[in-house]
Order: sequence, then structure tokens, then C-alpha cells
Amino acid sequence: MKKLDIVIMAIMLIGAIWAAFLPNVKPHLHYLSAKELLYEINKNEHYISVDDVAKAIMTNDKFTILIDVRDPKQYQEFTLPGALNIPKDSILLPKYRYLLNSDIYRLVLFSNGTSLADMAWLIATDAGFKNLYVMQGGLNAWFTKILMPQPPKPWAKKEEFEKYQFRKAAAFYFTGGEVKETKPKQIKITVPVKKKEVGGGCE
Amino acid sequence: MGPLFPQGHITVCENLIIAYLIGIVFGAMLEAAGFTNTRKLVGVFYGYDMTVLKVFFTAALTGAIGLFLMHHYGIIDLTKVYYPKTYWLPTLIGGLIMALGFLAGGFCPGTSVCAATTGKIDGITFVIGVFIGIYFYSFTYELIFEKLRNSTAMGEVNVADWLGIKQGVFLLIMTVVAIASFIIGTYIQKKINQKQSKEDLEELGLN
Repeated sequence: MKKLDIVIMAIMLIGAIWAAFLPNVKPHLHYLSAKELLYEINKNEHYISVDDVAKAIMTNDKFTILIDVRDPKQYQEFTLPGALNIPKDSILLPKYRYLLNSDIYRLVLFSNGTSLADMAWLIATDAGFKNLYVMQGGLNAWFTKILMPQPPKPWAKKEEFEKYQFRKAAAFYFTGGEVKETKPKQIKITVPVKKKEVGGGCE
Repeated sequence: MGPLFPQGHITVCENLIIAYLIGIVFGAMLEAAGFTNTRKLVGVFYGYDMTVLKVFFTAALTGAIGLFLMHHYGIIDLTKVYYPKTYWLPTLIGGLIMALGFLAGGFCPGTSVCAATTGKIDGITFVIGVFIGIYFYSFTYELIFEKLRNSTAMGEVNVADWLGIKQGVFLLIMTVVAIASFIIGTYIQKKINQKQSKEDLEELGLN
């Protein structure tokens, strides 16, 4: 081995021994400035409808993760299928950072209404986490729109009727029924052929 | 206190110019060290030239130890430096493919660009192959690779924290491993070169 190699190895070893006695580098959160936070709030793109959440659950979307931000007692009583529980006050704990810091998931926060989830969203967004959404209306909207959908008024737009059909299917799915895809029935329409009166001749 | 760009001390333009200058120096160093020569690069796999092992292991540890010490003495804030997220399975598969490419072609992506710029035909061919691979991946990503690419996410994970040991201690362990590998590597290199010299002398009838 050359002398230079030995000198380099010795310097590296001294540096490493020195580093061994120093404390760990602790990652801290990258807080947004007030301007950046205001921009995120004003964008207003962080709300997601209960219909989209229902679709994600029904299609088994692996990239959508539901996070119940209520306390554990309420979570135990009722929550959405597959939802994790991260109470609002614990959202910044290091143990949840791997999940909140992931690029690939769409994290949907929900609570009973919207305000608690909004608070959790604000805290997490301020800490620099991205891909966070809030289920608009929370579980209250889930019950009234998905589990107990009301039919639209007769003069409502076509989209409302389609939404109602989807919500009916979702209600059936979430209350234990099975949703099967059915082909529309083919209705044969027979048009009676009118016999032509024989014209002409004498009356 | 660094890093400069994430804290707004330098503009995007200045950042790119600095990166450009660092790139020029890096390329010059690679060429000076002989890393545009495939025989030198693959020597580590065949045992007759351990330069690549020594240079890259030394560079990685110098960077790691240097940054760690600089963080503790306030020269740089490591928490503001970009930290990639770990997806261990696609990284493992990508590493294996890269190793096969390295063995087959004799270059890694960085050294191939260096060799191409010096006019080496094997370097140019390798770079063309890299671009074909990149385009193939881009156009087939959604169809073939998306699920794999996004699997096994671990977030921003540090090996020392994951193992539950102090980061400085981990650096010391890696340094000891590096020194041991240099010593063993030098021994293997000597033995293989001696054996090769004997065979060459026998072929010439001079033994």
C-alpha cells in the first residue's frame, strides 16, 4: 500500500471516531412561511368529495390512504373502511412522518365534520407535508350522501341522477350488499303495421 | 450557513452555474484518474485493479463524515439538504440492472458520458444505450413499471436510525469496513497481478 493511501485512511478513521462521539442529526420539519401557507389555503384544492372517497374505497385504490383525525375512542366506534387513526394532536409525531412524507400516496383526512380535518390539514401543510386532502363534509356528509342518499328533484340535471345512482350503489356496497355489473336489458320494440285501406272503387 | 440554494442565498441561475463548474471539475478528475477507460473500471470485478473501489468508497465516506462534522459545527444544516425517499425493492432491482450493465458495457452512467466526450466510441455507444433505455422506460412506465416503482415505500429513512444505532457510530463502522476492504482488495490485486505476470512470462518463454 502506498504512503498516501495510509495517510488518507488514517484521516478518515480519525474523522469517523470523532463523528462517533457526536449526537445524531435530527430531521426537523420544513415549516412554510406565512405567505406560502396563505397560498396553499387560497388554492382551495385540498377538498375531496365523499363520492371520490367512496369510489377510492370501492375500487380498492392502493394509492389513497384515509386518515381519521378524531380521537381513538371515536375511531373505535365507527370509521371508514381501511382508515388509519392519527389524532389531530399527534399528526406531527415522528412515527407518522414516513407516511405523511411519502410522495406516492393521496392522504385523505376526515373527521365528523370538516373543521377538525381542516385543522389537521393546516398543521401538516404548514410542516411541509404534501398530497394531503380533506374529505368535504366529513362523516356527517358520508352518512347523508353515501349511506342514505336522497333522490334528486324531478327537474334536476342528468348529472344529479347519475350521482344518485352511484350513491345508491355505494350505499348497497357499504351496508353489506354486493354490487354486480349488469348489462342493460334489450327491449324489443314492435311497431304495429297499419293495414292500408284499399282505395278507389265505387262507394 | 449552507445549503445555499434551499435557503435562498443564491438564485436558480447561480445554482446552475455552480453545478456546471462542479461538473467540469468532476469530469476532469474522472478523466485524470483514468475512469474513462473500461479496463480500469471493470478491474474491480476481475480483481486486477481496485482503484474504483478505493476512489468511490473514499469519496462517499469523506462526503458523509465531512457533512456530518460540518452540520455539528454550524457550517451546513443537513436537515435542509434534499433527502431522497427510499423504495427498497425498485432500488434493489435497479442496482442489479446497473451492475449488469456496468459489467457488460464497462461503464457506469457518469463515466460513460466522460468517455463519450473524449471521443471514445464505446463511451458514445454506451450513452446511446442509456438514452434508449430512458425512452423505453418513459414510454412504458404506466404500462409496466408504475406499480413496481411505487412499491415498498419507506419514506426518508436513514440506515443508522433504521438499525437503531447512532449515526456517528454507523459512520465509524463503515470506515472500518472500507479500510478492511482496501487492505483485502490490495492483497487480491497483488495476487492476481502476480499470477498474471507469471502466466505472461511463461507464454513468452522467459520463466
